[in-house]
Amino acid sequence: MTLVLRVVVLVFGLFMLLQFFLVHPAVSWLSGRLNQWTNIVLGASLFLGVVSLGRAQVRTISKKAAGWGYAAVTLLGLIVTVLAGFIGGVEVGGLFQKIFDHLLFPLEAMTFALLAFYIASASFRAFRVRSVEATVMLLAAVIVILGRVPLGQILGSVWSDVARFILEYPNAGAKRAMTIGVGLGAAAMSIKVILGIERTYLGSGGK
Amino acid sequence: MGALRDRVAGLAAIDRRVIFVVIIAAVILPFYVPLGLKVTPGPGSRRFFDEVDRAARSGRPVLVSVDFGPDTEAENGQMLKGVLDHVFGRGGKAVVLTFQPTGRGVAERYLKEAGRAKIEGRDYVFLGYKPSPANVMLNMGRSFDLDFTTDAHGTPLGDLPLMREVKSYADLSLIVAVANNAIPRFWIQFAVEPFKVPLVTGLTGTMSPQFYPYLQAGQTRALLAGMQEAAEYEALLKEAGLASSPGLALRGMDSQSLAHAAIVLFIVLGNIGYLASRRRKR
Amino acid sequence: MSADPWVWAAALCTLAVFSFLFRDNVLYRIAEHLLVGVAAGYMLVLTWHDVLWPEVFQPIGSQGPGLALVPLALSLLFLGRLVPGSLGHQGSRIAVAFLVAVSAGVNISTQLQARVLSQAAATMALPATGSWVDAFGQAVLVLGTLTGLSYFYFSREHRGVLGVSARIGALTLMLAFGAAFGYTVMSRIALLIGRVLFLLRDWLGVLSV
Repeated sequence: MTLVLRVVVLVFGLFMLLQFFLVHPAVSWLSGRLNQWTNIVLGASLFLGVVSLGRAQVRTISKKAAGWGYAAVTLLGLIVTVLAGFIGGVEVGGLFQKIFDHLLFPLEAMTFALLAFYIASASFRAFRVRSVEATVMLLAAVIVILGRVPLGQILGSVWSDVARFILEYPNAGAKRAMTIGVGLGAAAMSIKVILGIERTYLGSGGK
Repeated sequence: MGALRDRVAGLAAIDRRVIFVVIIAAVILPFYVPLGLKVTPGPGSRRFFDEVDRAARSGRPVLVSVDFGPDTEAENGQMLKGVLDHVFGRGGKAVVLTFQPTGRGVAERYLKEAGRAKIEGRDYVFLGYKPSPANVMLNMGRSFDLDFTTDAHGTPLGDLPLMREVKSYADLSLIVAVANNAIPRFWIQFAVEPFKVPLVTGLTGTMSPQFYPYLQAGQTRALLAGMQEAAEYEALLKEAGLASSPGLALRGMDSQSLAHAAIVLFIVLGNIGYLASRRRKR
Repeated sequence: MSADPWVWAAALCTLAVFSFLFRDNVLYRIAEHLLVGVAAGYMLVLTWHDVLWPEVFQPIGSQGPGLALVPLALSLLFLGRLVPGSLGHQGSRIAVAFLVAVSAGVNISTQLQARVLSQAAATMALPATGSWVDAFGQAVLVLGTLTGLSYFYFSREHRGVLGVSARIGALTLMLAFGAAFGYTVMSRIALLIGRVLFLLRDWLGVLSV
């Protein structure tokens, strides 16, 4: 079975690499289909994730395990949303969109808004002039924090100018180094996957 | 002297509840006592404005990729609103899509408001959600109907006047990616580089620093970074008479400024306390 | 104050999550679990509505079995993970292999082009600028890129010239991380501003903006 899978990966992987260089209608047609099918199968994988989540909640509730009440809340939210979507439709004004606007939206938005408090607390606790590197990081953070809001312009345009300089030059240079490194690594990993050297995605039977 | 140093060293251990209260006060206060700080558009937001303006006037539609959800709607929402107001205000047309499930609900909400005076199907089309950015972006370079047979409401693409004009990237003037994640990088990798379609990006503050290399390389022609530049863009739209309603990014900059000042103050106090406690230990 | 029950529901959800600031509590736990359930349900409905129905089931229904059977078969193989026993699991590996193969194939040349070649070219071919500050900045950009790359080169010990270069690279990275943190602070405060506006303006009605 592993050999079959390695051949599948080699054939499709090589084809999708070569399709950028082979100019032929048949190649274009097939690569279009493969892209489309990948999109659909990825959708099915999301389905899998949600069904697995539902099954895990049902298991917790049926065993009355710790936190089963919360699992019931999760399951209720899942079922009501799914029914609202499938029965009422997804159009604006329907129950499904209302659940999005008035439940999902505020829950998700506030969960991330909490981070404002924690980042303030973390800034206070973590930003200490312990070393040269820490001091450089602290100074850059303070310059950007002040320079990228209108307050920086009140303190003097030099704040916003220096903040912009830091972002456009040293920040861009450092991030470019990381981008190039990641790009090389990703390409190398893709080559290893296609050639069958890297098989961890197949699970424990990949050897 | 020792007692004073001890007091100062105590600054390094301010209770975090004090920090929380100061932050919430710094955010709320300016809504009632405005600081009146002026937002001056910088080169970044001007470049973004010019690119969208050029595209909206070109006669070819703009593709808007809405890749954020409720988590960063406070930042990205104002960018999206601005872009839609800008395009529609200049008589341009928009094709909208998303690669994030929660982006769909957000896009519907903003299109409903911005497109009030417009006709869906003729002036704008919402193509809905697709889960696989890379593959869909590659296919759109050849033909939109490889992955999109209908719009988000189930209307076949052939029945939509706008989609009869738009078959692939070649029929677009610009891609505008408003995101809180790495999807603009997918746009660069799978649309800009292979098909040479122009791109501008509106990103949250968290994602923006990573995209400066792409901005410098010209892979994204403009970058709207965070709420500050969203506010600057709103100011430019207001100046041009294109803002459909008061911008919340502009209104929130006083709160942003005061909260930032509070955080810097805490950092300074914490370091004073840290240095004092280091001297005490010596 | 709003009389819309949906606005009240949104406000209660917001306050339930906000209560975590004081301490972990039942209200927060309920809100958190509700978020997970609703988000999962939302994703499932949209995946059906925007992907599976228009691209698989509707074509099969209207045009008969055709090429749409291929992604349907792959999707069913993928969902074989839900079936107990090794047969379902083995079948799902075929779907995984397909996904991984296509992704790996499209990634190789596009990653190299977008992230390596274009970035390297942009470092080498810098635009002419009349400003001394920009010229200095470009020198910093090139130096930052080269020294940053040298910092991540771990095949040799960071000594001598490489050591100096790596140290400069580390300092450049620290500048970048500091700038990124500064921007992150802006981002998080903006999110809080959004929620505060909702509570004060849309729910309590004590603010008009």
